[in-house]
Amino acid sequence: MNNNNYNELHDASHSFEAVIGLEVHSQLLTKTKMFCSCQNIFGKEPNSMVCPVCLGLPGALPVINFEGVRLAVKAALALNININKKSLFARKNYFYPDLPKGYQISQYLDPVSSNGYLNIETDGVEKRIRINRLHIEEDAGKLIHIGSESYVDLNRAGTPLVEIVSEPDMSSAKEAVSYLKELRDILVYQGISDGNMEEGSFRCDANVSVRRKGDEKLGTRAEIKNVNSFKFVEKAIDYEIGRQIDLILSGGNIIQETRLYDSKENVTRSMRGKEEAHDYRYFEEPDLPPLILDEEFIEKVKNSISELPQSKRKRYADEYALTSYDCEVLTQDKNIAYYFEDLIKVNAVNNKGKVEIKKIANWVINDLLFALKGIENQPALKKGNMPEQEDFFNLILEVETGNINKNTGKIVLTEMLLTGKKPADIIKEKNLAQVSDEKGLEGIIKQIFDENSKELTDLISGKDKLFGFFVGEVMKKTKGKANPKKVNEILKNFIEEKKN
Amino acid sequence: MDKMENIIDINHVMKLAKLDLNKDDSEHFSKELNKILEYINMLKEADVSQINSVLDELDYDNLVSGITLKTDFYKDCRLDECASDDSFSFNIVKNDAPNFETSGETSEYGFFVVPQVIE
Amino acid sequence: MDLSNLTIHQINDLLKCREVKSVDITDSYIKRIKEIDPIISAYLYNDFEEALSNAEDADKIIQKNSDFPYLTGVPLSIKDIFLIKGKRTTCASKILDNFISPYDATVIKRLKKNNYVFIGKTNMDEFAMGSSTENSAYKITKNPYDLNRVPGGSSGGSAASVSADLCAGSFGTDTGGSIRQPASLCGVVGLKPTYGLISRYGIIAFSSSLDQAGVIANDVLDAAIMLKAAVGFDEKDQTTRKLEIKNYPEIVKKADKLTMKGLKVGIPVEFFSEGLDPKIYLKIMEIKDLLKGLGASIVDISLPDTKYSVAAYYVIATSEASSNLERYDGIRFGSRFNEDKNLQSLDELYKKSRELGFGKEVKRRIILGTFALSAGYYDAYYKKASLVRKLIIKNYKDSFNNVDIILGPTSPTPAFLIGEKMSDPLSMYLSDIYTISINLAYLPALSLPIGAVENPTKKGGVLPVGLQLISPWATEERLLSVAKVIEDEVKFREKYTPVM
Ligand SMILES: [Mg+2]
Ligand SMILES: [Zn+2]
Repeated sequence: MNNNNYNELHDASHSFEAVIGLEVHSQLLTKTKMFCSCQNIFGKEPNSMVCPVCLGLPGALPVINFEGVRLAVKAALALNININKKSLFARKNYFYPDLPKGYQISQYLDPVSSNGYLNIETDGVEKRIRINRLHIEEDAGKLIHIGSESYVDLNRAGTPLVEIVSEPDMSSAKEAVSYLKELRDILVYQGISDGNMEEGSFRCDANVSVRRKGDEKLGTRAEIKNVNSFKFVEKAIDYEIGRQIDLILSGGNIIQETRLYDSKENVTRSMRGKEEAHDYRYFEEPDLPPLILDEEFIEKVKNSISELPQSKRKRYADEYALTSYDCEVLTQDKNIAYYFEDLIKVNAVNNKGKVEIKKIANWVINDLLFALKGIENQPALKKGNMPEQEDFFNLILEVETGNINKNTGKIVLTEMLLTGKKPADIIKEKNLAQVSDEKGLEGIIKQIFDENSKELTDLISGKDKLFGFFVGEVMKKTKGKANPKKVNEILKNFIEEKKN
Repeated sequence: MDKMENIIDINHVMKLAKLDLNKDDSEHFSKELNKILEYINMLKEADVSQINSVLDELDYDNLVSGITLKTDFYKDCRLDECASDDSFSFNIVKNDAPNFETSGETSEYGFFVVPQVIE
Repeated sequence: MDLSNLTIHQINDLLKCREVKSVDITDSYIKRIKEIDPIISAYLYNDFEEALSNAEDADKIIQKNSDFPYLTGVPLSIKDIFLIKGKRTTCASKILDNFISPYDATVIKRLKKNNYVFIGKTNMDEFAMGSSTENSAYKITKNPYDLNRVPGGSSGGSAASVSADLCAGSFGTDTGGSIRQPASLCGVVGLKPTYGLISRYGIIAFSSSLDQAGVIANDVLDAAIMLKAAVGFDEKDQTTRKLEIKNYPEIVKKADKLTMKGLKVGIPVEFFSEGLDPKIYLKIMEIKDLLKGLGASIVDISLPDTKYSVAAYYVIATSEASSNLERYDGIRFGSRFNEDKNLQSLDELYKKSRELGFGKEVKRRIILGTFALSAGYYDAYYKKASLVRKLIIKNYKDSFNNVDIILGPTSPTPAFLIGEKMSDPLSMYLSDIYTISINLAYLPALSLPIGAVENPTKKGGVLPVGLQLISPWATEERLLSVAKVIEDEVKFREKYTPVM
């Protein structure tokens, strides 16, 4: 070889870069399947949600579910992908037991949308990932392998999917995960998909290759399938990058193949035996007319798109001066974001007092979300599970105005979540209002001084640590209802007096 | 001429089509099909240059019926409503299936069974 | 009175004035089938019990109402390509040998609404692939005019059943001439409507963009009656059209030879070229002169690109078929050929089922179609054929700017001998040379018996000759009216009956 040999080996892996493209399949939240009127529902008895069309019976014909088209267009618009006013369905032909017709109805040469992008942020760095296309297709059924046989369940066959294909614009596993998260957030936010990776309604295949930095030409890529969580996507890609670099450095050749990720061993493995030449013999689906969309329709769909998480985050940071962590947490679930925004509205219109928005954010992030998690058998976060916005705001006010202290606030919140009662009623019922009355507090403190004269002497003589001890004693006596601010004030005054 | 280039690679095609013919049959088929292909190759002479340039204008509806494909055609698509085909009987499918196993004793439903899919 | 030698409208007249019952009519067809069909083999199977029960139901309706649909109580045969719930449907293939339809085709649903009498399923070429009905996996149907000759195909059983008075009318399908050519060879009326006029739902697909259901009838009025019962938009077939449903029977009844005056009749030079039997040529010329005599103007036209139609057809039809027939995999329905289930791999299951289930012609076409779609050949074959199809469409469109109707032969020869073309698939394909371009152009066409020629192999015997009429998109009423005028002049039914 040449003189560069040494250097190359010395810093070998740093002289490579990874090139990653993702193919995402996401189920659409329609009531019925894409081409028949069977229910689009998960977890029913095998083959109970089927009809001649999705069973692929002789003579059956597909009919387009327009809600599937609408959701696909909505997804494309939300992802800045250009809508094609005329698109065509195509057949992708191959034999597999979960594919009853022997072909999948998909889109090929003329997809419903193409050429878009998604901006992602990874470790504070922004990047634009180009999207090649988003098209509509139908899902296959499910196979269960038992012994020497496979069992075919076609309930999922024919359910609507969008396939979203990125350009190979990502160069690390972290970027790939940022892209996936951003993509999923958007689809879930817009009510297009439930984004559930474990149940397979949001699936990802990663095309990974490596090349020497500065090379124009792409390396041979491997396609990794079967990754069902963000964590595993990151691990699988990292493993694959390492494997490819090692292979090249040891003089081997990358072959184009499909690899499966094994999460137990954290490796990717070649899918042997399925290497038959893939020749899908795509052609236009003769059973369906071209899909023609007009400006008016596209405009209507556009107007139905709500603010995207990305833009919410930016707005929260700009308008409310929230930290990027706060913005992240508040926008990760659209129900939380909307809840937070509702609280801000209540704050603006109520006349009992205003609360700093940062404080409202803290209440949602630190208290509400925490309390929700703490409740046993708590179903997923849903609108119905959260307290009325008015009530929650009133609770915040109770604490901010000092009627109850923060700890009591947390207790009241849990009670609200469990019973749905209003905070004022809970405070009254359980007699939780703070003791802020100065005379009363002074009396209690004096009593404590009498009972702990030694500690008092020490404190006066400079053992400042004992201040906390007295606060604690007051709280004990008042069963936590004392207003800590007041207790502090009074204690300080007394000590000052005594010192003098 | 370029006749040779279009000779059907019958083994490759049979693989794609999941057909398995014995050697004699496949040789016989090959001969027949190549003769048919020779005839079909007349398509090469067809001048479709004008079709290519006015493809849109020649779209099926417009061309055949004189009707322009309605842009609001999607109103003819299916609404997202569950409906069952009143004439469809899964019981007939189940009784007819070459290998079907019900999912439980009382269940009407179950699985179609095939030899293990090799992964 | 022989009740099995009647037209549908004659039966309707008799039922209306309650002279006979549907049960009587059905009974006489059953007797005739038992007597004659062993010779003809038009039927794959009959269901006489069902027929009589349908007839009883119809009689009840007739008794209650004076106003009932034309087809009420009328025994009709159905090509074994239509699904009828609970009935065996084989498409004349071994792969569907034990297949019981779990649902009704839309056409069948409509016929049931009309209270028709189902008398049996007729023989056909396997999966409608053929022009002689010799490709049936079960039996060879004979031409009622000469038992040594084919009835044509693929709806040969339907044409023979009408011609031999084994039913009052029959529903068939036409992908490249499969209704018109057998109608022509058997001396009956065959109508292939505009693509999209009759739902394809529940009809086993051969080539989705070419298949169209149609009718085979004793006369033109019967054809109009049957057409009206079947047409109309179907929400289960997105290639059907929302068109105004015309009252075809009433239009036919009003057909008047005076209206031939000024009718512009196109004679395409390409339909009278080499390969056309000179005796048939002369018969067609007689009709040309007849129309001229009635005041029609005859216009010589050219459809220059129809010379490609057989080639384009065989690429498009086989390509679509190769895909449509992928669902016959031995998994969900039909025949699975596995003697030793446990030793079989999935691949073997597919291959065995398809190897033993499909007949020769079907395999031939699957291979041709798979090839035409395969990587590297798609552009040269499928795509090119689709473009040529547009040329042919344009030929017809341009012609119809100058003429109202086009006239020519249906078949280049009269019925040929059984076995004559079986060893030469190409010559068999060319027997559809005049019918194929109409399917490619989505147009309606009708074959009308206009006379007969001497049978060279049967002393004193004759063979029917069919005239083909072609009209613009969705103008079936024009076809039917002109056909009715010609029919009244040539009086075929009065002159010829099959001699068995
Ligand atoms: Mg896909
Ligand atoms: Zn379905």
